[in-house]
Amino acid sequence: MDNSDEITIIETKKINVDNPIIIEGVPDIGLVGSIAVSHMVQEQNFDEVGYIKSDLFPPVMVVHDRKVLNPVRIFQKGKLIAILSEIPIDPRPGYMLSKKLTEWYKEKGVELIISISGMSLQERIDIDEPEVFGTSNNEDVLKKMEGSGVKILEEGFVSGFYALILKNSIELNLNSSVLLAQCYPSYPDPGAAASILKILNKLTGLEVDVKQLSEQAEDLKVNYRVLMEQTNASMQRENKVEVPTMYR
Amino acid sequence: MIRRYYIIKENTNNSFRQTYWHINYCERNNIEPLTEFKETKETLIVTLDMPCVDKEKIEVTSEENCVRISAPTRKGFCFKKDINLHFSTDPEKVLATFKKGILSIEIPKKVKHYKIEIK
Repeated sequence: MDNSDEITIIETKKINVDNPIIIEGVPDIGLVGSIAVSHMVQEQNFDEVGYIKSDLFPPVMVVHDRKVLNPVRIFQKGKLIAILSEIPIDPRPGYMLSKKLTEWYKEKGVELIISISGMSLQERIDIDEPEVFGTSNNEDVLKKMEGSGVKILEEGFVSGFYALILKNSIELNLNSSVLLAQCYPSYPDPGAAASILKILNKLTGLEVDVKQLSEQAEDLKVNYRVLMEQTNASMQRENKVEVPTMYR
Repeated sequence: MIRRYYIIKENTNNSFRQTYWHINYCERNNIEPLTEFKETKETLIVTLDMPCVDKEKIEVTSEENCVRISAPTRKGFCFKKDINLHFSTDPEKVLATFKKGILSIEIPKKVKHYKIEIK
């Protein structure tokens, strides 16, 4: 049995869209992806169309508006499909999930994958508007990102779950990109999520209002505290890989 | 609970306010704030993420080998953290600033320099 069979993608509603754009929000540095995608699907009334299950995920179900929900869910609005995880993905399930997802993206004939993450910055406290950096395996996507105000990574590295998405995308010939906003290394960062969503509006034609993210930033930080704590622990388990000194 | 805290603060002296606050406010419903440490040869810089907290309600107390932080939040719970130091500090030289919901504490290390006489 292929290891990625331990992950199952369940479509509760038929996802029938040509060449969708995927937006991924998985907990990592600053919870930028989780906060941004969670806000986007709520604010833009995305339709919940599926979920992802696995015995390798921690035994967690989440409750929103009195409804019990799977922590890794799939949303859709028009051409956009969002993947939102409310649990940290440890390295082993991460390998399998990335493989399963990219194979599923290939089946769906995706136009572009946009993974949302953070870039830790010690001086984040002194910055009001975090900058957004990006990388992609496709030159045209890089140009489009640059035109939308993204600073393209010339040198650096992407690690963790999104690195696997990029790696698998190259193997499967999918267009994949990662957006990284400057953020606090270990604290939830709604401000960084707002910066990402402003860029995403330009890239996808969405009109996500980010005002709420700054107005309710402190409440959000309280709400996301436990997930941040779990994610920090998960990232420590992941960070056994030595980063080359040239990138430090 | 918050209302009672204010009443007692207005009507009693500082020491009673602190006693009340520690017993009734910060001994229950405590949560550790997310914390980062950065250590140099001379100092330990600790930052604590404390959203929904008012600056004037934060209490930072320092001893030679321990720095204690407690702060009630507007959400009805209290942030509390004791930082046990693996070095000695001068308590009066500990600096704390609060900005954008983040408390930053700079704890200098007490370094004793001895000139060694060569015999």
